[in-house]
Amino acid sequence: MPKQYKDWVVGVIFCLPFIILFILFIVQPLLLSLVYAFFDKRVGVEPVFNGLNNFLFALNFPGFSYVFQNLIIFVIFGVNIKMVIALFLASLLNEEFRGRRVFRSLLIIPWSLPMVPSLVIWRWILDTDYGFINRCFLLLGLPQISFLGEYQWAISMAVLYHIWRSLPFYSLMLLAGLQSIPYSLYEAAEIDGASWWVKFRHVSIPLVKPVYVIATLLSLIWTMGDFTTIWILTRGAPADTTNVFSTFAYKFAFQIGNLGAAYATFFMLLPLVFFLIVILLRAIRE
Amino acid sequence: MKKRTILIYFVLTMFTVFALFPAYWMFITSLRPLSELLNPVPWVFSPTLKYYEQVFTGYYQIDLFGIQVMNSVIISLATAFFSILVSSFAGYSLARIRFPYSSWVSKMVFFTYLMPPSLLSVAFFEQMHNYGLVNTYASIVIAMVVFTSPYCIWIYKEYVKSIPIEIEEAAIIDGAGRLKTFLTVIFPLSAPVIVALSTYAFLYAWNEYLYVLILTSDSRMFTAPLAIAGLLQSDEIPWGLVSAMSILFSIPPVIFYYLVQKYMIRGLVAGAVKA
Repeated sequence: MPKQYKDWVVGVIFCLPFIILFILFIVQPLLLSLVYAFFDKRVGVEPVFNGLNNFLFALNFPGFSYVFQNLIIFVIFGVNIKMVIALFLASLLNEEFRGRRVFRSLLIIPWSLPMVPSLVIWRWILDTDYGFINRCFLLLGLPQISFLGEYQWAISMAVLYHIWRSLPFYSLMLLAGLQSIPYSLYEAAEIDGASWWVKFRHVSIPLVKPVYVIATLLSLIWTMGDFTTIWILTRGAPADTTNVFSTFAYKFAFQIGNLGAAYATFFMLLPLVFFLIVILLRAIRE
Repeated sequence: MKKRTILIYFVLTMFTVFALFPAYWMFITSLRPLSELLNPVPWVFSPTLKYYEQVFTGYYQIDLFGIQVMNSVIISLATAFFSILVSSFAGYSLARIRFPYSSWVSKMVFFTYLMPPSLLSVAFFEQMHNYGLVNTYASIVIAMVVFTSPYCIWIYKEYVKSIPIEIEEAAIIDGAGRLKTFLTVIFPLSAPVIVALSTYAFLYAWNEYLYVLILTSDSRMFTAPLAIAGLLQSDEIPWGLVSAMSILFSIPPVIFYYLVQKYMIRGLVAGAVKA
């Protein structure tokens, strides 16, 4: 056998375990989800085609319309506010001052904590009767707030948790982007007498923009798939208003036993996710 | 100049307080006797180790916690092992061997990395149900390996690229095949990155919630996060106990992130930007 031929076979074989996993556990579940969205599907029962009934079932389910609203809230407030704060934080951490390292190691803690424990503690801090915040309110003579019992508060707290948890990751990503900007550019601007703001606006922002766009897209995609935040913090309460796509699909599949409706729920989100993934891959290549 | 530095310190301190308060409160809660938890006057604090004792002696609400932590350990170790097995070979291949459609493999790696796992969860459950693998370690480990291997492949590939090719050529001239070269030359040289990536995979599985939730129904198969979250379902949530469990559970990941923070973020940004 010629050596050249053998070598590429070896190359493929080395990749084969991953390719098999990809086909079996990424492609296959995706196709299953897309196809069974149009079938009446229950665990262990033969699927029966039922057209758009799953979509109607989901859309007519009490509280389902909130998932669209909540997605928009997460995208507008969660992702965007987080990215702006992250850029601000990154540019602070990019300054020269003593103790920079200490701040950086402390600020990463929310990201390093596993989600379940940190969500549990958020619930405890926000507890209506004994939580830290309401205890403080009590001491100050302010009225107690049912943070996780009212829709506006509950969804705001979920967004706040989201920002709290992922801020370190995106700040450090943007910081790495800022650090890759050659220092000579700042020096040149300084010689021209540029202020901090001018340097930030005309040197940092344009040069960090590619990383910023990539980070925003990453955050958008992952935020759309976040299940644990809502499931532990509110479990959709009050009255199924704080659900997101994945928690509603979980509810359909495992609490109601209607897998078809769960697939239909994912079907509504998947095109958007694919679209964002394609855009992200393009952005990365450029 | 001085004024600005003070301002930076001030703003960063505010952020740090916001970032650290929940962890601090978790720690304080785990040490407070019940009477103080229900009536927490900030300046009254008489610490107790009662909850930690309960965790270790298997309090009645968490009598299976020992088994569940063992499940976490087993699943995480298996994930680390298989993830490295799958991704070191693939990463090496993508870095060094030219083969048709290798760019497609790279695309698959990226797609898997970006795909939010929760969107596949129901279908994954159904597949595992059909294979009869629900309530087994295997199903959870497979899911974890699928979701950890893209990052591992990418970082490993970048690492192999940084090793001078001459080292390998010497082995190949000596008549060693690809497999032998990889196992005897490249793999030992990449020990540091293997350690980092296996820790990453270990912790990914350690922290996982959703896939364990859907793939297990028997509480003897639960992992630690499920045990902790499960206590939130009780009528009187034992906050002290939950906090003590959370603290113990969070120690390994926090230490790890502290040690490798720079490396992880750099790798990630390099991976994202270079692609």
